[in-house]
Amino acid sequence: MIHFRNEAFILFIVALIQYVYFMNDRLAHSSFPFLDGVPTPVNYPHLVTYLMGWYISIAASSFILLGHISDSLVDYGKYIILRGKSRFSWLMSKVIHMWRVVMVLVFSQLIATIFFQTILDSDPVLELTHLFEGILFYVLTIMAILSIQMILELYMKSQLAFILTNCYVLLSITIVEGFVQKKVLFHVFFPNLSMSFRNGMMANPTLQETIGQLHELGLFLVVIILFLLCLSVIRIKKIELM
Amino acid sequence: MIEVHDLSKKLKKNKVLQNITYTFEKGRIYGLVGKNGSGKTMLLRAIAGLIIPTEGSVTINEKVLHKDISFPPSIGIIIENLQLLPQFDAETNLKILAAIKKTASLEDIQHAIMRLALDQFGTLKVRKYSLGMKQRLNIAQAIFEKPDIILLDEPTNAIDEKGVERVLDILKEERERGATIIIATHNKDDVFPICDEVIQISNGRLI
Repeated sequence: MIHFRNEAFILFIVALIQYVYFMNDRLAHSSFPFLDGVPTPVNYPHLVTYLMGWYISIAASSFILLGHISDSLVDYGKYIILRGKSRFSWLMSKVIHMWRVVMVLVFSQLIATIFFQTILDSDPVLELTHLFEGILFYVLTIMAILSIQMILELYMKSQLAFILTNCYVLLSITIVEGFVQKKVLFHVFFPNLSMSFRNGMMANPTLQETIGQLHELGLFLVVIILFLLCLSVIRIKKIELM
Repeated sequence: MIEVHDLSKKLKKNKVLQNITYTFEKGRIYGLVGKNGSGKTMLLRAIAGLIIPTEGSVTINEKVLHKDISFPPSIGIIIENLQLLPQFDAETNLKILAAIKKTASLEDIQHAIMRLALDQFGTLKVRKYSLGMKQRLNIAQAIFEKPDIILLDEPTNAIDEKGVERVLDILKEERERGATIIIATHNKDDVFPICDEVIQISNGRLI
């Protein structure tokens, strides 16, 4: 419990830092800049600036959950697992913890955004037309990313899983930029899907037709999360606790 | 009762356990003696359900591990000098573990701490414990829930002579309670006096 409080505090600080970062840049963003992501096409300096702002929170949640699975399996977690009911219920407790971390992160980002905007009374450059969907896709995307990290940790060291997951996230944003008309690539590199700039939730209609209907995106992310969860369950039942 | 039947375990190309068959009765203490790398710890891991046998089975009270149950339902274990949470004191550590199964009361926790003579250190954090104190706390976490099966890997490591006597007395009391205790050690002199049976293991085989 104390551990989770520390994590929540760190995530809140990250949300504050992220908002301060958005305040300092002079780039276009909506009322809820953490949902915006990286616009495309955009020149390289802008790409890096937008990417930094979006990526801070993804990296923070990924880092907080570094070793969440694998370190537990090789160390202190054995004492916990042996007292638990089954490997499945142990994994579910870990997944629930991941959801808690993501919810705390997003809640902190919302609080920070509303707090600063109330103080500054600033007008957003662009509107965000689908706030609820924006938050939903954002949460699902982070969960899908963390689910990749979870399944990788069941096969390799936590540090390697962390690096591979984050490389995939960064690559997926930068590599897709040249292929904006290819819908399938937005799904293969799914971190793009949560970005309001890219999926049309921002009042920027240029890409709306490329990505398709919003509910399809949500369903696609749910399927990814469930698929990775099923793989993790299969793996945890066979893994040896050496 | 623990029944190990024709148990083999292969890690890559090495057979670390080979065709082990043995029955461990309730209320007895077994000494598992062998050199480093002989397969003692691997056998304890197999009985605890931490590894999946390549061949054979482990049955706990007629329930087959990895088929009927994932882990023995009531087990205390010390393995590989795993450390408890260094930022907490002994009582808090045991309270955290007790919250999982909810079978041990605060009295059980305090009694275990007292039996291992850790009560004198009060709220001292585990990070400040000596090796011997950490090992005693590990023993406390293995016994405080009064498990039916107690598996101890080198339990007397880093503990002084007086401490070893105390640990052996505790294990005798646990046997009286009805627990099945298996002690893996390369130092048979320490545990020999209390063992009902001593099993030799070499190259993954019982001899």
